[in-house]
Amino acid sequence: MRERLSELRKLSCLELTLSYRFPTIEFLVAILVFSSGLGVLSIGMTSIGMNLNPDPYYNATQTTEHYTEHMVQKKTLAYVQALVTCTNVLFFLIPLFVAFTVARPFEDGTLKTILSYPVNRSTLMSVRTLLLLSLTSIPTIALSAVWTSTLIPSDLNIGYAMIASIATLVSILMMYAISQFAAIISKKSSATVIVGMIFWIMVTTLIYGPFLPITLVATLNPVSAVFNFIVGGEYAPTISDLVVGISSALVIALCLIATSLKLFFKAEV
Amino acid sequence: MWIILSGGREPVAEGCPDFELPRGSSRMGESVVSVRGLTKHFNGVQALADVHLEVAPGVFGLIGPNGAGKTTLLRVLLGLIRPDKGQAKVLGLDISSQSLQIRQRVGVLHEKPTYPPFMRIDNYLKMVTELYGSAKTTQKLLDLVGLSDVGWRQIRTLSAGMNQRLGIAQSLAGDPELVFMDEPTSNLDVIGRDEIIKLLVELYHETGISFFISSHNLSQLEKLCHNVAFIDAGRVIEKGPTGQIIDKHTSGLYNVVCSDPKSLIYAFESDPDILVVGTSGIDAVTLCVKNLDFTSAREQIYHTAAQHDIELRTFTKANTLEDAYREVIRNA
Repeated sequence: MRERLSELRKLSCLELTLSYRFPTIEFLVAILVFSSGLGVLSIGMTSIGMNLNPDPYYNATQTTEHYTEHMVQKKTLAYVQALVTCTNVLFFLIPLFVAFTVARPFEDGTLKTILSYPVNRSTLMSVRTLLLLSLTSIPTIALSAVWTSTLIPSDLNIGYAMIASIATLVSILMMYAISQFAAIISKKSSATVIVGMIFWIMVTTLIYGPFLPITLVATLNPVSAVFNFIVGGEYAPTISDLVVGISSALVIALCLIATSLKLFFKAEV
Repeated sequence: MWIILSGGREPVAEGCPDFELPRGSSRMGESVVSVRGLTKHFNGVQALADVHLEVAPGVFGLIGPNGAGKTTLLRVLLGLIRPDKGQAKVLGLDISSQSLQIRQRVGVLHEKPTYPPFMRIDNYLKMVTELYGSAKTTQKLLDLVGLSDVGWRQIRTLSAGMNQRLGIAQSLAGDPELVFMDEPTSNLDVIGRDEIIKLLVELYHETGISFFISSHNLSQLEKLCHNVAFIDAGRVIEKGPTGQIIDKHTSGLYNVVCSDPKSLIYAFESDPDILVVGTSGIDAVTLCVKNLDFTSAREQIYHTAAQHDIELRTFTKANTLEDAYREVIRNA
């Protein structure tokens, strides 16, 4: 176990040095700071002009309750909106990162060099997966939470926030799984980027409107489905749609990652 | 069919007489690489065709033209690609099931290797040493390959020769018992090539590591290798100790430099005892003389040349690995 952890640590250092050299991580975090802030502000700004003046039927307790409820919903919505904005940006960035970290080493010979050292292929791939998922999902969730708590004073609906965070992780995992699969099958960075972009366009356009069944929308872009669920409306998914969508996305992503690992294990370098 | 390749011509670094290897070295023993019936196809093209090879400890050279299957064989031995058929062992370990253990005990220098360009040399070597879990210090590695003065530099700033030295250093990072090298001097000039050959001979003396070198540069392998194998179109067509291979395939071969090679070829066209092998230079012809010793062959060739008013400038025995290789390929 200790040896395994030591190998993971060494490979993480190697990956960080090779693929996430300055200013890659800094660039990613800066984009996520901007995106999450934008997401929170886009909801926060809707408070401006909110009418709290007492009318002839003024009921202070009821108004305060409505206001508190409104603010809780708003804060939750702002948090989810921040996650959605970040995820949409990450849907664009993840194929680029995967092309750079998984496909390019096939092309430039770096993988051949690394695999000539006593490095386990599955450990190497696991490290790459964990690193990319951590570097994208942790800042997304953390920055969204920081922006929301800083800009909107109220309590958060923890249940919805949890579902949204899980949906974000699953969305990122889904995008990563598709890009990684394309990278390992094609061994080409250009093909990885193209596949990723096609999926990005699909999940950021088709999900709006009545083109696809709601469950499929929730599968393709779980975090957007959570947002629609909170906002409500004609095309809003139910909680069961959400559960089915998130679970399906998770299963598809895990299957793709497992298949990719198997393919990578047999890949000719 | 199964031959343990050992002994043979001892490698000598050019301009470096101190580096002669001891004859009958005590390092000889169990074979470091054992290949049985390896076959590999790429999209219908046969890259390896039933390759059999046993390599004894020492310096071994795998020789063949571009596309002959040298790199493919190396990649199969390292577990980077899987063979369609056949088995192979490196240091007694099976390549299919014990690839990780093999890579723990061997070093590798790939052809045109890629290292992280923005890393410092010493940091990269430290990282590689850690991957192997080796006790070797970065400074020692830098000293071994003569890069101790530039250890602070980024890899992208290195010259081709320095990059190759770095490649050798990283291949030694794990205290290997065997080092695979694919075209170690392919992108170097003559001076750079000589430096690398000298370095390899030094390393062999100092560390006792075995080397498996794949190359198409015959003159350097002749200086370096105890044993060689020729590979062409995925098949091993000749193998054995370097000296024996040269003696076997160059007997009766002579290089002649003359004033008119075209007329010389014409002159010997109808001679049953002297066969024109081919031109070996702008004014040079290689001839194969049967059943005659050196003196008689020279006399006969001078006599025939004089009859045709051809001036012979030099007459030498063709006895290099290159001559032997040319002859093997011609007869294959």
